[in-house]
This record gives sequence, C-alpha cells and structure tokens, in this order.
Amino acid sequence: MMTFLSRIHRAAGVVAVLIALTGCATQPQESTAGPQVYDPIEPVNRLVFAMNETVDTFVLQPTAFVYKTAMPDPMQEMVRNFLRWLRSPVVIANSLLQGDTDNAGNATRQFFVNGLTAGLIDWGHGQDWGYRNEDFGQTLGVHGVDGGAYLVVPLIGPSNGRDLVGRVVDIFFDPLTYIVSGPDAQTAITIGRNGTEAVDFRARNFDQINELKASSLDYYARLRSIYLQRREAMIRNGEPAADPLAADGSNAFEEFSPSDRPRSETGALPAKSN
Amino acid sequence: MIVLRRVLFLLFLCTVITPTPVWADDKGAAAEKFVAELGDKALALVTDKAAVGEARREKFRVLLNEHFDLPWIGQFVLGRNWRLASPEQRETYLKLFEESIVFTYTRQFDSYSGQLFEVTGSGENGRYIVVKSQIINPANPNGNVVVDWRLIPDGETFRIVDVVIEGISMGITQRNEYASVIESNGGKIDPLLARMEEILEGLRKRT
Repeated sequence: MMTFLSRIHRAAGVVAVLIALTGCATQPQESTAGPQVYDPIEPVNRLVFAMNETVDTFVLQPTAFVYKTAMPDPMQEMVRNFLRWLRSPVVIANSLLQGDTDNAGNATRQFFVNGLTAGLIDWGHGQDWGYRNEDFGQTLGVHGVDGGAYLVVPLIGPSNGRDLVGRVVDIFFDPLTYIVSGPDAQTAITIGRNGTEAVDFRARNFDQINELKASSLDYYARLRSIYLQRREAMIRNGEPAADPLAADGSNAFEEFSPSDRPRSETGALPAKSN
Repeated sequence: MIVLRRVLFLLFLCTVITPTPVWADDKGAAAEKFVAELGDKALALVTDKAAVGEARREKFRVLLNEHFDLPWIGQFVLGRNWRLASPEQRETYLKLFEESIVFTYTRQFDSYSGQLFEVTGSGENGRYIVVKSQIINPANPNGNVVVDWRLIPDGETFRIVDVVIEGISMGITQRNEYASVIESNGGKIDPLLARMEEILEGLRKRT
C-alpha cells in the first residue's frame, strides 16, 4: 500500500511539472510562417532525438530485424494482438471521457471476447466492432487543449506537452498498475511492454521507416511535422476539420497563391495570382 | 401576352440560376473520375513487370506531370522562400523537386502487395476540391489507408496540388522540413539545393 501511495505521489509530481510545461507552451510564434510547429527547446530535442536515433540504429533496428525474420508471422500477429488487448481498458476509459460510447462499447466487447483467449487472438478482426485507439492526449485534444511545446522524450520519441501528460494519466487508467504489486515487478512490466511495443512497431514499418530516413533532408523536422499532423488527425478521429484548414491546423493552403502560373490558368486560384 | 412573357422570363431565370449547383455536382463527379483514372493508371504501372529502372521512372514522370501541378506544389513547399530565390535557383529547385518525387515514389512500387484503390467521395475545402479515397488491403481488413487529394481546376480538367495520407499532408510535411533546412542555414536557398542533390544522389545509389 505504501509503495502504491508513494508511486501516486511521484506521478502527481510528474504531472504537475508537465502541466507547467504545457502552460508555458503558449501559442505558436507567428502565424504568417504558416506551419503551426512550436518547438521552443529545439536544441535539446535534437540532442535527445540523436540519442534515440543511436538506440534505433544499434538496438531497436537489429532487434526488430531478427524479430521479423525469425518469428513466424502468426506469432507476430499474436504479440500485436496481445499488446493491443492490454491497452483496451485505457481505450475504454478515454472513449467514455470523449463521450464516444460506440468506441467504448466496441473496445469493451473486444476486451471480454479476446480475453477468453488471453488476448492472443483478435476475434473482432475485420468485424464491424473494431475500435479506434484512444489515449488521454487525444481526450485532452478533443476538449480543446493545444499540443503545446513539441518534445522528444528519451526512448519514447516524438511527443508534446499535452500528449506527455496524457501518457502519465493513462498509467492510472491501466488495470495493470493496480494488479501488479512491488515497484520492481512494475518497472519490469513497463520496460517489457514498451520495449515489445517498440520492436513490434519497428518490425511492422521496417522498410518504410528506413525509406523515410533515406529520403529526408532533415529527418528531425520531417518527423516533427508528421507527428503534429498525425495527432491532429487522431484527435478528430480522421474526420476533416470544420474550417478549411491544412493538416497541421494552419491556413497554409487558403493563404497560398503561386507567384507565377505557367499552367492552371482557370478556376478559383488564379484570381489571386498575377 | 404579359403572362406568357412572365412565364418565359421565369423559365429563362430557371435556366440561368440552376446550372450552378448542377455544375458543382458535375465538378465533384469529374474530379472523382480524374483521381480514379490516376489510380487505375498508377496501378497498371506498378504491376507492369516489363517497366523497370529508367523506363519505369520515365512513365511515372509522365503520369506525375499529367495529373499533378508540380510547379504549384514546388512553390507551396518552398513557401515565402520562393520569393527570395533567384530565377536560376527556382529552376534548379523545381528540377530537383520533381526528380526526388520520382525517385522516392518509384522505389515504393516494389513493396506493392495486391492493394486496391477506391474513390469514396468528394467535397469542397475552402478554395479547393477534395477527393476522398481509400487504399484497401485485402490481406488486412483493418489496414485500410485513407488518402485525400486536393485539386484545383485546370481548364476542362484538374491538377492535384496535395496528397493527404491518414491525415498527413505531403505538402505541409515537406514545407515544414524545407523551412527547417533553410532556417538552420541562415535563410539561404543554396544549402537546401545542395542537400536535395545529396539526398537524391543517395537514392540513386540505392536504386
């Protein structure tokens, strides 16, 4: 009991620091720049990013390669299903907090049905009761909280103030936090699970990630942009924004008019061009 | 006589007023057809085992220029830095830009594994027409990828100016990335061009 209380205490401290971080994260500098990228501690982020890249090259990538080559596909599938199943209580809690009872219902159904086979088989695969992933970062976003400062977290990777708070809060939505006793077992489970998730993700996107790296002029900036846009899309559950905004929430497309137009002389745009 | 004239006038009004919404529907349908045709042609090219190497890249380049407004996209990606670039820099930039798109995408062709392409609808987004589509993976029912196409009218037809994959806009991503490269080089364009050249060389070697 004591360890559990002290853990809550520690987590509360972390949350306070994180909220302070998001608080500092006011609005992006100048909207004329278009992109809504807000990265006030870029040099620190780039340093952490470089460290994470080193881990990727020397640890994650080789592990993921062995994993995807040596492990039979059906077993990889089972690992993926199990990880997803472990997360479903968090999805249920966050769907409810977003008022999305449909998604909560589907995730609940998956949790119990797949629970019969210890989460190893996804019986809802391709059925109409599949569910979207939800986390507390998205819940905050749905309720209008801005992403705040972009952050690169050691070993975890791209995040921002809002999503990092979300990660910590999600720990409390996770039944495993209460089932497992003892800080050592807890730590072992956290490391094991996050590590497996990382290996699974890297293995599934092995070539794509390498391709992305090879074609990037500035891999850090590209990932930052992708993270920002992807999270925005996830918060809106893939629906388009109400306003005619670009994928990063900026007015980039509405404000843009090409300075010379050798082609496309008709339509709505050329009225603004010369 | 007056009544007849009034009826005629009303009829005239009807014919003048109605075309707008009808035309808008037509425009959406035409835009959907435009993207669907691109999908068919791209799929034909991807599955064409005879087209390899430079021949395949050349076919893709033609397809790309027929359907995309590359100068438009190139300018958008460079953002306000376009105005700072000299005519020579602009020319070099647009060439490198097209080249890197050709190399990046043709390299992805080999990872094709039976996916299907389906246009699912269209609508308007501010000044643009947006066509919605899906890449369907028969092997993985949950693995559908949502792709949106941003179009501008071009005479009788259209031009694509952005592709949004699962909420990630290619134009915005590259704009952010290029802006970062230019910014970290003191606002100069030449280092960006040098870096583009360097990456392209790397892609060429890997092909």
